[in-house]
Amino acid sequence: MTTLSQTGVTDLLMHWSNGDQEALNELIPMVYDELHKLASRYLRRERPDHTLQTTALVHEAYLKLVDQRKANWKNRVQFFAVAAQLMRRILVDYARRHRASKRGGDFCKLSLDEGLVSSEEKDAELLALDEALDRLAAIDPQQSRVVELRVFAGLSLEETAQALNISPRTVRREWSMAKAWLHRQIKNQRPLVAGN
Amino acid sequence: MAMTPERWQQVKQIFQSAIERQPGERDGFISQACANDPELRSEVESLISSHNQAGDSVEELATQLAAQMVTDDRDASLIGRTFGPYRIISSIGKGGMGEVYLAQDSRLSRRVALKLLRKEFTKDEDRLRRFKQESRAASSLNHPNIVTVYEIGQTDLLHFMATEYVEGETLRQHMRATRVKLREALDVAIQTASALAAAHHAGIIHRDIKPENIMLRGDGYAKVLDFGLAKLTEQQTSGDLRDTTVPFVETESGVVMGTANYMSPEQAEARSVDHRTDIFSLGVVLYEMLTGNQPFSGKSLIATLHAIINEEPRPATEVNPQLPREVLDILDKAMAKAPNERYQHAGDFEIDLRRLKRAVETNSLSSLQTKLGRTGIGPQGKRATLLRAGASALIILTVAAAAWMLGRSSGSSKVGVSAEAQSTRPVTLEHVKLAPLTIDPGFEGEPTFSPDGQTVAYVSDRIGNFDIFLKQVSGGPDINLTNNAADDMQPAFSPDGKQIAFVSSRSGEYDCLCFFVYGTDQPLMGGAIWIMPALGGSPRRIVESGTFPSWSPDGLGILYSSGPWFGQKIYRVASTGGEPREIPIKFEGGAPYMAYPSYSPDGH
Repeated sequence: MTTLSQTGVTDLLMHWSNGDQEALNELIPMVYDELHKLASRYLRRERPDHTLQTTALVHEAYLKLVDQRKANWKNRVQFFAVAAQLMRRILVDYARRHRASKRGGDFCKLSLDEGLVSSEEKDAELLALDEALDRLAAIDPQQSRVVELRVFAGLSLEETAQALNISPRTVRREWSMAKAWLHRQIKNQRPLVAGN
Repeated sequence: MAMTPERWQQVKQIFQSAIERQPGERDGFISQACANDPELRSEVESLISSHNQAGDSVEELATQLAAQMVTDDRDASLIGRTFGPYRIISSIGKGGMGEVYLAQDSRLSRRVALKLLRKEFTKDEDRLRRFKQESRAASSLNHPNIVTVYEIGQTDLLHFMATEYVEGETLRQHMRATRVKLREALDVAIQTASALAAAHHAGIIHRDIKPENIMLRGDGYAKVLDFGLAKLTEQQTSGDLRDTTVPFVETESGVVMGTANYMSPEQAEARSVDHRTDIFSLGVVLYEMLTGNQPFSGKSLIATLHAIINEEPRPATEVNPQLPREVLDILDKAMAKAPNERYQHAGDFEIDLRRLKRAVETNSLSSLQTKLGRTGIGPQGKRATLLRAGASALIILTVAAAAWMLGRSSGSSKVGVSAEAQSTRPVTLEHVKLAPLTIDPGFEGEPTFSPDGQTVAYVSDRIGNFDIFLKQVSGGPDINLTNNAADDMQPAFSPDGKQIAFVSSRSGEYDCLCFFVYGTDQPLMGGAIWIMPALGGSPRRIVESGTFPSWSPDGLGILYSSGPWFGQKIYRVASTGGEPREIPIKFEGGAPYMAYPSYSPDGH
């Protein structure tokens, strides 16, 4: 069954692939909304201690939003490119808020186990990753896109290669360099961000 | 290392080639590739080492955080979603009617509190319509103590209510965090009563006054939330409770459960209610603020309802002996079982609260005077005293001005403790023209003339705490002599008019000059005694603890009282400071309350 939003997203993706930038502006809130709905459904279904795969979330959103009969391979790739950016934004927002609420002394959430400490570190690390990715985009845009698709949309090396229209070998090389550089950036950043 | 895109490409090529080689060959390759460029070499080596440590950490970071996000109940569900023009920013809390969020109004770029109403409360169209009507009506009163409702709307999923976002905490949160002081408790009750008076006048009943529904803003404003909202939950609990409204309270764990602690007897009995139900509930809230205990609480809902209908609460002064007895009259009248015996209007409740607050602030409580010897005074007499205590600052200053025109010294306008001081000749104001000196709202009092009669020093709380102001009798702006966050009171001019002695809480031992230092075992009045130049300048502390400073006619000494309540002693200290000396006074049959010591004109 094709839903109204499916038709909408698929059409918008097609328009966007034909160079219509306005279509992207309309696309973003729809995908954002869908990701959130999915996230809360995951919550109800699988809480509390499951591990959520961003990949699963993004893929499910794709299946829900894109009319498979109309969509071609190129649309799919574009969809993931948009979804990766959105997922990045959602997680950064979350990490910021989460850190702010911890700093604000939300004591009832404190527990004695290590969970809190590590989750605070994760927040700081994600924010460091976000900043580092911005810097990376300035000096090596292709590498930063590889990271975004791999990390935030959960694409495989092959999928990433198809999405960016480059060879899987290039993706692998870019990815290994980016990983090393980002890892170092995050570790260097961490004491500054999380150390207070 | 400065990273230009060119430099980056250079690093990248060497790194990628190195990483594709066997670990044993890497070092040699790097040495060769980075010959003569130690900086490049160290950068590549650092990245290789980072590559070996990295593992899957970067990919996992996003996954782990996403997992955390979705398991984080509050955040995952609705943050970022939009309802009408409102985009949810973060969760504020949970209420009985649903979750409350901080949201952004995209049209007006303002922040709002967005309450998502639970479906079970919005099914009844008629009820929903009346709720909308009432809450709009309350909001349209534009009362400073009523939270403004911007919009009640709906999406395909839910009904929502967008209101003014009040930055602060609920009275419930405040009471959990700290013991509420007497003056503060009265202040919150006054503001709530004022909101109720306005709403009742417009025919709107709140029905669910409780600490969760009173927001306290950082600047001291109390704001009542959710007028009319209780309408939505009425008749939700049919069955045993005969269709009564059971208000909700948020517990520590965030679980929402019903409580009846603030219900009026008529609500508890499921009889019809009018505006006086709110007066009862506010009485319960006031009792809890003053004592830290709820007046009616049973182990079960039924036991609580039974207590509300049948039992008298333990007197508040028994729970907290530091409370003035006057609060009993007010609480009794607010929490009378029969609506006819209660305050009939929230405005009357407010007036009594204001009077009590002023009496507390001016140390003129009638319970004190009763203990001074005027025993056997009835409720009428007490009320009259309260009335006098509440007389406006404007009148007090006018009388002071008149007294000065009649040629009396400033010191004798105060009541002395000696028999001599009480035998003042009668003053007639018949031919005196009265002129107001001050017209500011709030408390103004303790006026005292400078010896030359040109200026009046007085106390005002217009900036939020008590400060001493100087006013030229001929006019001109008032000068705040003690512009700080501490309370400063009881100004007394030196005989040469060059200095002012006063009492201040600025040294920090006392947080206010309240008659009752609430929450401590010491019902001491006042703070330290200080002296400052009358035209402003640095004050110096001469006594650590005392009240009612009064100068000797030669200006060399200061008389004051100090000590526990009804155990005060009178002391003299040199106006330059030094060791105070007690002036021994013997009383038969226990020490009376001693205040306002004053020298006779000859200084003996």
